[in-house]
Amino acid sequence: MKKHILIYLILILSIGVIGINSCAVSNKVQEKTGTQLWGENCGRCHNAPGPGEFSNAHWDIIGTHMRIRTNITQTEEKKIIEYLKTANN
Amino acid sequence: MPIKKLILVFFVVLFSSTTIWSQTKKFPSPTSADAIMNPLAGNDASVIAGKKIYTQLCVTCHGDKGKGDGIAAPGLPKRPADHTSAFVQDQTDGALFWIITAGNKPMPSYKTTLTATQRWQVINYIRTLSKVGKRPLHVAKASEPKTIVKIPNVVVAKPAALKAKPTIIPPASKPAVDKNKTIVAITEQKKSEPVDSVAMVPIELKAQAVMDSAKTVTTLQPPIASLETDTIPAIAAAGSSAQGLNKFAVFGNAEMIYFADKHNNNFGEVNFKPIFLWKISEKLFVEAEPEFETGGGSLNIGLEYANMCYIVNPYLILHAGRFLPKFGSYRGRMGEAFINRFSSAPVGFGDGGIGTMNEVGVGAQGGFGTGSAKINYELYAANGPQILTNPDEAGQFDYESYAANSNAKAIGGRIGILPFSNSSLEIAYSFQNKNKTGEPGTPYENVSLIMQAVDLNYWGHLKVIKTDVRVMGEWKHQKASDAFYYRADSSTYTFKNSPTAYYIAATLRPSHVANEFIRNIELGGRYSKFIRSADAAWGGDTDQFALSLDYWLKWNTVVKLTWQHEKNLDNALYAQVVFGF
Repeated sequence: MKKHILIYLILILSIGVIGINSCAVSNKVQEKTGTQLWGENCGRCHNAPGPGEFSNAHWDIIGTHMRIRTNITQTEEKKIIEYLKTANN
Repeated sequence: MPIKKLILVFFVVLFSSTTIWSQTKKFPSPTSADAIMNPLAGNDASVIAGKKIYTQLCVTCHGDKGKGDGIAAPGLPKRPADHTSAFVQDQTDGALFWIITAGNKPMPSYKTTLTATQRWQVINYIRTLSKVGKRPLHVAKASEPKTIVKIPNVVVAKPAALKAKPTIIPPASKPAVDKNKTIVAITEQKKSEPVDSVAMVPIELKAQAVMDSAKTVTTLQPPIASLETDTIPAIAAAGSSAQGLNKFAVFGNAEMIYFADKHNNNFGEVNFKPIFLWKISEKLFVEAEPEFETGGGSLNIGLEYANMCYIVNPYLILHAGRFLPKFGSYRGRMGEAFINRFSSAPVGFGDGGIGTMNEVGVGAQGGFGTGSAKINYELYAANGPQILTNPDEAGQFDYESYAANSNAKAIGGRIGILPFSNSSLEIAYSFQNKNKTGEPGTPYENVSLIMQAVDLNYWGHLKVIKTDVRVMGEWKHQKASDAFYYRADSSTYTFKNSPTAYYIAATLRPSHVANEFIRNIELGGRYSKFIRSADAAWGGDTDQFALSLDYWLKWNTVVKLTWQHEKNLDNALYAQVVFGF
């Protein structure tokens, strides 16, 4: 019974979050730079490696790998990798 | 006492290494940069614009107050500059402009990201962060020559790319300089840059100044006269195409564990886990991780995953192969050695635990934003778990088999929600269902298994104590349909096969204190419980409490000490070394 309550709570929360926020991505999120997204998303699980840690080609690979592993959005992946490459340019 | 000695050695070595690795403080701009005039000096309106840029580009590392305590600081090889400090505030505007323009790894160059005007706006905002009061907007060192000449624009380029006759600045000493990287300055105006936003620089850049900058930044960082350019991206683009479209990399980690309790102490498992990654094209990607493990007196080689991915669109990725299903977040993510802050696994989450681990099959996954939140999902069909029936393991499941034992398939998935715009919290629900887990033709053919999990991960910053805090937790439960199992003496029995496991953990890392040794330390506490039927051969409840002390040598390299108390077992100490590569 307890597990069902937990599941219902999660579902209600999900629906609530979607409803409150509507379907469009907010301006606040849209305006986030690669720098901000890098700090916020990479640090969720592990220490975020800094710009300059890998080559541009490796950043491309890492971006796709992390998108598959953690389901970050494509927009986040692109912005983060673009930022991380800037130290190599 | 081996344990005490181990702890002592641990700290002595790390403290020594911290002292050795301490960096000397020297501002990396050349002395000639001090003479660059701030065209927005005294322009208070520029501070507002500067603050907005600072928030978007600088706060992540330098922190919202500029103290060098941004959320990404812990992973960086050196601490971000404290913009409130006298060390930064005593620099001239020109020096700050130089460093923002040229970059200072790991800080990237902002010469293309920001216009010169925007860089000056940021500098004017940085001046407001001074903890010793507002500093003058332009301070040139008294010893510096003041010969200032307006140069509307300058470029750095290979000689062949130049349209005007260049003024070549030779190195001060050692003649062996790569011609392709020779620093060149010309006075051709860049049309896109307004004249009033361009730096005023000394036209005669002393060779020594170039060498000064080379010593402190990199060997060929451009001086200020060569920072405004469209040529560098062109060169970079050419380099990128030279890399080819099919990109390959190997990353991964190596791990070793030391274990000690009342009766034993020895160096235990060594794991080597390279991850092979191929980005075949923008749409096609392959990732594979073999695993080499010692332990039990032999070398075990396994295939953690070999997953082929097709990126359909921004919201959908299809995959096929052996993969890590997203069931909870411990397995495949938070349990990875360079992410897990403990040297051991929670009870019920490691060997002998419950919940799916590796699957062979196909799936679809993706993520998208909605409002200020994000949703991510995965749905898959796979061979799924297989019931074990030998007396010692009867009623448990094999979650990592390479081949199917029947035509039945498991259907599973996970949906995760990150409700806050800063992605600090994720809550997710996972499930998997398989109707037939046994071998066809046996009494266990129709034993079904339903699995569910809820996981939560939070990451935040306690500003008062300059500490990052993480809270992680997962609850998982599974229920198998009733079956009769055989004991070793051939008698039969049954039990309610619905085990539950959960853990909750929290860690603190004072990532933003000034002391380098302390900010690399992370402390963790974890409680976990595994609830199983007492009637099962492997049954009975157990729980575990663990405390961990970690020291981070790099963003993915860590030394961990974990003390663990587990029901019916001796207290134990684990030490683990994990090197990410």
